[in-house]
Amino acid sequence: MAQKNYSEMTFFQRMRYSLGAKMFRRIFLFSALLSLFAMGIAFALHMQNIIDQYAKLTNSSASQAWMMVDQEKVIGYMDRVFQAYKEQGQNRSAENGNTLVDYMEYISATCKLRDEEYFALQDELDKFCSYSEVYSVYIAIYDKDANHIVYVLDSDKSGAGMMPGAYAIFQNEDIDIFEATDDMPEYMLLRSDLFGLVCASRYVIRSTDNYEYAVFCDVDMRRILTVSAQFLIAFVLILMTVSFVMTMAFVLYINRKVTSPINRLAQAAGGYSRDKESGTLENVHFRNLGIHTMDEIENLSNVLEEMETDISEYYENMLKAEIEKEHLNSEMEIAERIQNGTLPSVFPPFPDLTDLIDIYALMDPAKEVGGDFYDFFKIDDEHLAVLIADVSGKGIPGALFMMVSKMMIFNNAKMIGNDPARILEAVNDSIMENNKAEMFVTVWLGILELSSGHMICTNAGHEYPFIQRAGGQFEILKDKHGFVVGGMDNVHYKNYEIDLNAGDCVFVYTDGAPEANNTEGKMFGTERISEVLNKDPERSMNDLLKDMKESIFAFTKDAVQFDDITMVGLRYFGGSDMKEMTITATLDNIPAVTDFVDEKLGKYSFPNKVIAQINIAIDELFSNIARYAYYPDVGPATVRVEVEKDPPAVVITFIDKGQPYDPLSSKEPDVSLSAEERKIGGLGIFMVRKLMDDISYEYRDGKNILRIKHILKR
Amino acid sequence: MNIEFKREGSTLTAMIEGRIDTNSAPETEEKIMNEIKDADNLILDFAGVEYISSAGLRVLLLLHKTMLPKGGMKVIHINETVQEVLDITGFADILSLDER
Repeated sequence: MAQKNYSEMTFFQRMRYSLGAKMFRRIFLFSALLSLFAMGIAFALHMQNIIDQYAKLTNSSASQAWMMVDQEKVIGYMDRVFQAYKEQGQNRSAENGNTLVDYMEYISATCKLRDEEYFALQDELDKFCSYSEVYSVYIAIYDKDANHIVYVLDSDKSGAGMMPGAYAIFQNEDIDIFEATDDMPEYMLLRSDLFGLVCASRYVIRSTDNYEYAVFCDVDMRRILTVSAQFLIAFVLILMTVSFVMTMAFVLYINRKVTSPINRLAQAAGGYSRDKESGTLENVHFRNLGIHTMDEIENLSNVLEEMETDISEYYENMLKAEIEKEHLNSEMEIAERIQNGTLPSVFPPFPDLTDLIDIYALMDPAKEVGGDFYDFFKIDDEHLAVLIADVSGKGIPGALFMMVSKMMIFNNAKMIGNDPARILEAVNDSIMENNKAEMFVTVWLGILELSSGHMICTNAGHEYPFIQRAGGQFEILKDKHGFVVGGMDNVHYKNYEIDLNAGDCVFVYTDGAPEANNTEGKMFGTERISEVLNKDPERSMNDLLKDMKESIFAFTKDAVQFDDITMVGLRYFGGSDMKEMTITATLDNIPAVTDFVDEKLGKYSFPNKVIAQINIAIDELFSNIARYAYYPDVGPATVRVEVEKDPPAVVITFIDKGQPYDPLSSKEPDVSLSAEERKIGGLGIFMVRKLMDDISYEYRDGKNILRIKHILKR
Repeated sequence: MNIEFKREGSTLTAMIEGRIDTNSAPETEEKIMNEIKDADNLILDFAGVEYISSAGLRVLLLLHKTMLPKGGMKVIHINETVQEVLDITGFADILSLDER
């Protein structure tokens, strides 16, 4: 059974378990036991004292009585009684036991000894008893052999008094001796049914080996003991009452000085926590308790009061810190927005150049504000700058440095123009002038001449770019690295050149991509980047970068991303003009494809013959796809038209995802046969081969890719 | 694709306009085959033909074979593109052509 908490107890339970009640019970029990124990000892000592006193009293009374009486007469009586007792004793032994009749005869004989003088002696002793406050005095003989007390003269004249000659066994079962020194002690405390509780002493007159003549004196102890007992009871009651009252007073005192302050402290603490929960912030709970007990309790109260104040101050400080933190967070968000705002994020970034370039960029910061950045901007109408960079720091410092670097590259590129090495040298000089934070940035910068595809690049400590030549595979370009920007003074960079032709592609990235870790600590690596790039080299930059990002995250899975992942992809259509359409491959759609291509070529005012030849090729090739590629189903086909400038040529690519089929593998028809022998099959492809300057087939990634090229003669 | 017919005695002249390609070839074939039952000579006037693909060549070959037992078939007014196609495919050697 679970013990209830004190604060949950009912009034009656509190009466039982409260500190005051517990203390009261224990103290009262203790003091009661203590007083009973003290009483016991005191009573024992008192009794000893009383017995001593009465022993002396009886003893001295016995000797006084002896001094007072006529000793010769008394001895005379004693001798005669002793004589008669002995005779009776001889008879007793001779006849083997005496009878009541014998005893009565003996007593009546001895009673005759009582003469005038005997009664006078008796009176005298009686008077002595009265004024000396003893119970009785009697003169008797103690027969040591028979252990008999033989009475001679008893002060008691009533019927209870002993006749001369009467004897009794001294120590029998009726007599309890409380105090005794030897067989026949000088005094003794004895209790018998006959005499009650008695203190007895004797004064020995004559003593032999066999008997003793003595005066005995008794005092009744009953009254004395009753008085003592009454006193004892009264005393115990008084003591109990006093200890009860004292305990009560003590408990009340404790209650006032300890329990009540503790209860008030507990109440204050309860109120404090309730108010804290509801958000009240006043430091009043412990301050106004008014506990002035000048002891540990007051100390506790003071400490709690200080604690309350301290906690409130701490709480307020914490609230302030929280508000500041929130403020900082919102500033961080704004910073992130500003940073994101500086990076080109609308795609395509140059809508008027979509025929010339396909450019796309992606950034995935590890923290809210990252240190990576990319940029592309036109330096002039003819030149496009493309760059990717990684600042040596994350968070706010990295972001600030990134903004500065980005601005500097932009401004210097605008001022200097088509010379990436000089641009980075100028940026390096500017940064080195005042680089207190010792930060640096790696940059890959390329400037593309839009009309020719000629690209001048420089690499300041950045990752190797990947280059893909049209129709080929992505390959890493181990370009010459310069030192990082902002690392040291007077760094010189070298330009290198890439000539991009139609369909060529450049892919750059920050180290976050190859160094992306999975949970096993393995890195993504450039091998995997290459694999992902070459899975489908022909896809758009948008698809390629998103694929790359998905592949990286599929690799790292649950591992924490700890570096920004940024990449930029650029495909150049090399002065060639490219357009493509994807349409369901059916015979009915041939005119739509022909119209699309014709419209595309329309602005070049090619000779009609060329257009017709191209249309024939489309008719042959697209009808082939429509008939066979997905047979018996239908599926999509992509037709891409490119117009190259130097030399002027039209390139058309047919892409379908149907069954692999190389039309170029079919046998050439024999065109010299007579009309009867001629067959039409295979003639279409043959015509295309003859009409076009180049035709190539490739099956890659589940796609049939057929490319025809028609070079225009000048 | 459009075809106009002209009869002069047993000679049928078909004036074809447009492209003879995968989509128009079946129609071309059907229309001309309907007309040539009582013709001995067939003249295909290609003045309006932009180009011809292998599907069109198939029609030409069919018509040629159909007319062969009779008076025969002649293709006239072919343009440069059609001429090239016929040259490449050897059809120029089979068919009787009249450049002008």
